[in-house]
Amino acid sequence: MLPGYAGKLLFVDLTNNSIVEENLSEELARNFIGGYGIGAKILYDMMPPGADPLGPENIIGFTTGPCTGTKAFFGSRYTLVHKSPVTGGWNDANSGGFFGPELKKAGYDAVFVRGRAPKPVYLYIHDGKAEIRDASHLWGKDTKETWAELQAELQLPGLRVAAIGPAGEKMSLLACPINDGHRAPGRGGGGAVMGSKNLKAVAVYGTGKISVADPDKIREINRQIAANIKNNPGAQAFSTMGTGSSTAASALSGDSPVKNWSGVGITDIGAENAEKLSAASLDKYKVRKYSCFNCPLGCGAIYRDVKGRWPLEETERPEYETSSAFGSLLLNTDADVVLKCNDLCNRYGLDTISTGGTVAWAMECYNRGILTRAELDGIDLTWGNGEAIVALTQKIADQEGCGAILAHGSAYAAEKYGKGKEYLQTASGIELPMHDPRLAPGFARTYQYDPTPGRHVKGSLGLMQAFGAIPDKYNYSNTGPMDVRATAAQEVENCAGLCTFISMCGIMDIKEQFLTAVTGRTFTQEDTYRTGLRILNMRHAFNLREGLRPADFTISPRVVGKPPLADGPLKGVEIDTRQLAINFFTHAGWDMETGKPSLESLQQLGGLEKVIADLYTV
Amino acid sequence: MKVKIKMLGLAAAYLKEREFVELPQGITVEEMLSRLVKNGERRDLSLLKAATFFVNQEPAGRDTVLHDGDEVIIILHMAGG
Ligand code: SF4
Repeated sequence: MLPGYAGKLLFVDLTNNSIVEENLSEELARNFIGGYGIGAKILYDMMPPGADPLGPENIIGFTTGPCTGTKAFFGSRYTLVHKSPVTGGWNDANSGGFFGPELKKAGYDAVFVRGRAPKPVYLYIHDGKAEIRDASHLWGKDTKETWAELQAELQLPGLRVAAIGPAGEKMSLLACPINDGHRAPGRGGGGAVMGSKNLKAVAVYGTGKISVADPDKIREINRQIAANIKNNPGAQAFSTMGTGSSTAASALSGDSPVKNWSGVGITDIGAENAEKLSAASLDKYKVRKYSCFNCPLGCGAIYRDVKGRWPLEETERPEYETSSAFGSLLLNTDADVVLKCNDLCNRYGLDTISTGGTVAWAMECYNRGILTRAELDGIDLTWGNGEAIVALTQKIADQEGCGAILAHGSAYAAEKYGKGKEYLQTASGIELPMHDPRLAPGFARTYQYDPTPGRHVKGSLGLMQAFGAIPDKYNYSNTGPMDVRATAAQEVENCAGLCTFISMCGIMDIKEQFLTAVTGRTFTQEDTYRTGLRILNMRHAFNLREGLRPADFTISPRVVGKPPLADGPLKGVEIDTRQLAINFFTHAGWDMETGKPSLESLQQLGGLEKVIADLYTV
Repeated sequence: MKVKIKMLGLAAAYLKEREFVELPQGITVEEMLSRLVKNGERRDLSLLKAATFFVNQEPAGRDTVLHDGDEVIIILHMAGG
């Protein structure tokens, strides 16, 4: 067996009620590592082009990486892969918690599901066995109820479940599965894809162990990480306060979008008000710390708020993305509103970023008189109105009244209402994450042109700029080499099954060190570059085969400073996204008009024979 | 001169937290920062490079000169999440 891998892939067809197991080939593992690398290769090989994302031909995969579930710190991740019903192209979204590690302990590196069951089912995977089981009794239940009920039914308190809630069942395009009660591969409509297949949940339980090549080396690296974290006050603060440690700071620095991307934090919200959503303010609700599998930081927390307007006996600390999407983006500074919306999204199975983004679009349209109060079922959606935000989110969750339209996202709603298009803040139809490209222009390129548009955990040039690690960030010449290199590195980190906050561990080549120790194959930075590019090209090729060309990848102008903000720290910033894209495409060997990678660049990378055959055989 | 300070995000993890600081006349934001950095054991301060500043609600740089009664906001966030 390959060290670091469970060694098996599972293929499920819900139409035929069939389950097939295959060994993971060494070649697939070597060329594509794991996660969405392996996922992209398999979907490219097995899915016909032009498949309806909500039809039986779409394949949804739950994929892990070699570090997932091992002793290597931060190896908590699995990635959901499928064709997106939101963007119409490739989709991947990752999640922490315990589901991914448990899937591997149950004997599989990945499970791929196609077809459509005639009635609701769940997939039960346990110690090398898999069964398709009836889920009629779970249909209509929320994600937490589903998890608890399956644990009780199977008498397995250690059972891990990725389940859709009512939102996914009704194929809301904002829907995602939720694992471990609150962790989510949130983005791109994976919950709708599960719903379209009548797949309520995947439940996993395993007692297996993942062997690694060099356990002593992993222990040594872990010790170094623990020492570095102890020595880094920022990492310590992050461990205590989580991603929410940045909410107030980002609202003012220009990192968080404000007022549907039209506002300025320091003036529209102000320092005093921003503080109301800071970790320090929110953590008065903290009951205990929460950590994903084998993580030395443990950035999560369980909250309790029984005295607020929406009492919550037990809920989770909202992530930064959530606090901003339901906070600065809507000019809301009421903590209980953020807690309630986060809780609703977790229970119904909704992506908090896209849900907040959709509310923001509706809010701007309402305040401009484009959407009427009657069209919003009487909700007075003025900027910052907390009661209205919760009421609309509840409607979206229930798909009731106007919620039946808004539950499919802002782009769908603008189409359906036939107005408000100019106020959409999206990339290829998906609402944008909470890091403003006007502060870190690298995000402009990835949001618009990454094969998975609208993501903040792709192509880390933007992340590095937001950290202040890149001087002269508004100089748009010659960004190609750094952008491509940073993107390749991020591909490898994601596909290894590592959490992005491993960046706080203080070891520059941590991916290479862990991958070498886990798999036993020496992994150099050059390997990272080549492998990352191969994975990037695989995702890109999936989109090309769908007929998507660079011109089909769009971004709303306001987001990239067209027109520029008139005030605040980002005043006057207008991003030359086209130049950033040309730089990236040129360096990656991609044609800017057709998107086609050069034959030479594909041949150099190797492992892309089918892509070459498809693109270069007449 | 006396300057009022507010720290947001991870800034307080690196800097001595206090509401008012007494500083020499004409000092810059950068010079103020070096006085505020917590000393003691060896610490990794690389993240501090990313800090953003406002002086009296206006965007400011490290070379901005401070005056008596100014209000400085020091912001340090991390991306991701
Ligand atoms: S840093 Fe946070 S999100 Fe990442 S693995 Fe640790 S607990 Fe999970």
